[in-house]
Amino acid sequence: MVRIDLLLSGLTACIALIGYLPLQGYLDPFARFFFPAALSLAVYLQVKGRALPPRVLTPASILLFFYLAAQFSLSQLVPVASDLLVVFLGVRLLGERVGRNYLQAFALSLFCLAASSLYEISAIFLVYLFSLLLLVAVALVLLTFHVQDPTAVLPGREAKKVLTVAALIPVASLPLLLFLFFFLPRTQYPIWNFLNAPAGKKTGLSDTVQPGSAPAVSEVKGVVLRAITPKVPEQKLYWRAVVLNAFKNDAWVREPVPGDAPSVMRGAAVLQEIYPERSATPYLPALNVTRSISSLRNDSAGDGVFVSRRPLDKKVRYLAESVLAENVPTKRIDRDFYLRLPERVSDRMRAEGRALSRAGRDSDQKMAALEAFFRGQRLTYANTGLPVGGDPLDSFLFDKKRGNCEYFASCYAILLRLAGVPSRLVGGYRGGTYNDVGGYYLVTEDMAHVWVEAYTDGVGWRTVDPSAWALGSVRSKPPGTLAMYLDMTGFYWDKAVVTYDLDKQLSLVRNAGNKARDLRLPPWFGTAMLLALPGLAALLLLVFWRKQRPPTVEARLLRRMLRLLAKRHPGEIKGDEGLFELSARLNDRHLTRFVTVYGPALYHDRPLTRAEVAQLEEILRAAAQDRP
Amino acid sequence: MQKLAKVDEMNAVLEELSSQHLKGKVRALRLSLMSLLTGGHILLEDIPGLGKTTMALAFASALGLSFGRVQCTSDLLPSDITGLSVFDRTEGRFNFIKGPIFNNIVLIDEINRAMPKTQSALLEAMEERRVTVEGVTYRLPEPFLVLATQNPVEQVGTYPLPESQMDRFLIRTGIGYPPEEIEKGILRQGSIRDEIMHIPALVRIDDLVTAIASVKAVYVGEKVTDYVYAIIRATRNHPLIQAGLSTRGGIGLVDAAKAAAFLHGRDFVAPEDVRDVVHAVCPHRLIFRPEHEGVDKEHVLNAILKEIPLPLT
Repeated sequence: MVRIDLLLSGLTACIALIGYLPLQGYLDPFARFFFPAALSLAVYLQVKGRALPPRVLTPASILLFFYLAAQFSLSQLVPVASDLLVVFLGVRLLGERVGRNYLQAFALSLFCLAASSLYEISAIFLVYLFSLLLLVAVALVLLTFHVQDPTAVLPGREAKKVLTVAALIPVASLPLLLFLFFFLPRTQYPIWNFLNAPAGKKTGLSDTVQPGSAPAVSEVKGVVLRAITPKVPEQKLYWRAVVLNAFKNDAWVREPVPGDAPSVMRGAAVLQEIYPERSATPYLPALNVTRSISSLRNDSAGDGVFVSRRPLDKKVRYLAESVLAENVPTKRIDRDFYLRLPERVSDRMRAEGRALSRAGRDSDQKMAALEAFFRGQRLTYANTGLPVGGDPLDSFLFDKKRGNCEYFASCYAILLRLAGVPSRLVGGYRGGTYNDVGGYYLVTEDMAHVWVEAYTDGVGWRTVDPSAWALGSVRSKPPGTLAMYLDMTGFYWDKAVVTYDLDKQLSLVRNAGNKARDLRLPPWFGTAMLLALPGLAALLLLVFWRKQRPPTVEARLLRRMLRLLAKRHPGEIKGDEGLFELSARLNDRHLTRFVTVYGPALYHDRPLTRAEVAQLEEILRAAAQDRP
Repeated sequence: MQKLAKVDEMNAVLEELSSQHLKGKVRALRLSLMSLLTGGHILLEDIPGLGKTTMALAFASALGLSFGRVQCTSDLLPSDITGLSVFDRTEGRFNFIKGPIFNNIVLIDEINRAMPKTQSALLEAMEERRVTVEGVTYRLPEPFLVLATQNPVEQVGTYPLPESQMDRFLIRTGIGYPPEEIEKGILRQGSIRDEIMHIPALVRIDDLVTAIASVKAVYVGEKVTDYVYAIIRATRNHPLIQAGLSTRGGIGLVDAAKAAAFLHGRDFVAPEDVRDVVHAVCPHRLIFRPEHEGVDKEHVLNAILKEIPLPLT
């Protein structure tokens, strides 16, 4: 036995929860805690069989409205509205359990879910939407019972039937829903973010590097990009985004590249299909060293940096071609530009630079000496307890001896410049988690990295990662399988849905149409096709029919009889009985006549005679016309 | 379909007996008649006092057949069943006195109480349908049916029949308690043993012999043979069963199915006839693996039957 009112209350609680959950992260603390409290109270009241009367609820609603509406302003339009929706939903759950209140709760839940799409559109939204549709449909059907008789009770089997039919309604509409979903235009960013401000998300990459600005770097785990590409050796996993070549207030910044001859990368190219997350900077990361980027309008800066022409404030994709090389061959550079120093360089560093310039004549020897110096200093890689204060780099090298990649790379590049070797910083990402399931690299913000390129005559820019010389550098462990699958789902959602471009699809269709129009066919072709197509269709049908059809006359006659019987005695044919048994049990005169003709022939091992077939056909006809 | 000889008479006997005298024993009666028609024998396995003897008596009288009875004990000798030669002083020679086995219907009560020697003499007579005493062979009367009973509960002082001898019985069945209403009627009425003695014969021996001949002529088609063979093979390959149906078991199955088809008024065997008799013919011939001896044979058989589809086309 199933109590309709209990079932309905349970469903309503679930529906309200589905309305609340997606919005929960964006709510004001008051609304965030009010709803669970109201839900718990509602469950308690339901168990006790009571409800709060309207004379309590109505004033409470008015008070809550004024409390929340006080925060209203034009920029706070959506947050206040969603708080109000959630709070009213909570209040509605407490009220008397009558049809009107249930319907309001359903409507408020739907509005809540809709409001959540203003903040974020992700794959999970679809899950919420489908569950809500399903539950609301079932609940509405139950509500019709409840309105007729609030104490209605259904026996188990009936209840199952009702629930199944109710659940079938939204399931049946699913194909249409999906069709519309893929067909209708959609936004590529949550509407509220678009109204409010440009992309909130920022990667760990910035276009300035200033070690010592903060004592600790907090690790953010946001996704930067996903790149579909074959697996690459771990030590080659550098994602190049930006090159910093000059100083401004002691910080590394990027200035327009002075007349470098564009480098010509040789070697086998690695192709990547990259899906970056929204970013505040326009740089397009790709595997080091990037040769070219296509399918997104961009400018190449000549030093392997590619800049998107429009801001990356929505989801995009691009194709990158890289050569996994140690060097960036460059013929000629502006040496003076790459030897400029920051305003403040400590005496100890200057002394070290002088020592280096004496250490060797050419760049290679100087770099080797510098590497020996770095290793000799026994520096530690760390993200906390970083040197700050007046001269953080000096403190890093000689006193505290701990720092992150920014310290390593800055010191190395400055010391090289002091020794007379042109150098520059490269910002990007180091590493990447390969998702074997999806076949792509996942790069997160905590992988942000800075390394150095030093210029050697005749070779070009050579990549050096001084952080690698640190003691005990630690890499975070790869995520578990479940996390990998979840990330993959989100990725394919972005790939198939969010970056899906209707315009492109339409232009494709148009092109195909144009091509088809230009197609020249012989004049008889149309007529021939007109004749051939129906012929082909008929042939297919015939083949299908013959495959479906039992091979012998006997089997066909028996199948017809059994189908007729299933109609005449619904639910009584189980298919594990002999013909004589069946005719004795059902006591059906047509079957009895059928069996007296059919049985002897069958079990005497002889085919039916022509007369018998005719007789059986006659019996079948009579049975078909005789409605029990 | 042409009419089978004497089928109506046989069904009339069944109808008369089960509706007038032996209420609630239709199944056992029908199986007994089937044994008689195929020339097989039947083992009734049930506790005493459920009317096995009454049934045998009534059965014999209604068919107009002679009836003999052997009450088995552990000192019963083979000659107590077959008979023996007694010296006649007046004529100065041995006269052969026929034992109870020289009857159309022989009731062997509590066969498992007889010692193995006697059991095998009996079983030999059943199989050969003749008895050799002191070098002279005597043919047993026709038709001939042994109705043996055995009490499955009491085990002390018994010689249980080995499986190889069980195989000689075409059919093994129980009688079971009668349904409530019928049993209450029986209680009101009291024992009907006397009344049974006076049941008039409903058929003549000639009719029976004709019927036996028509059962023999019932047609067994290829499809039914395939079906029977599928059952036999399934019992042989079943993981719980050590020894499945023997060829004699298969023949018995077909024979019993023929009798069932005959009683349904058909001159050919349909697969449902086979399935109808499987539970009477097969279980006592299956030998389960020692570790599965407790398993219900009927359940296993049902599972096997469920797997094999009836040939309908």
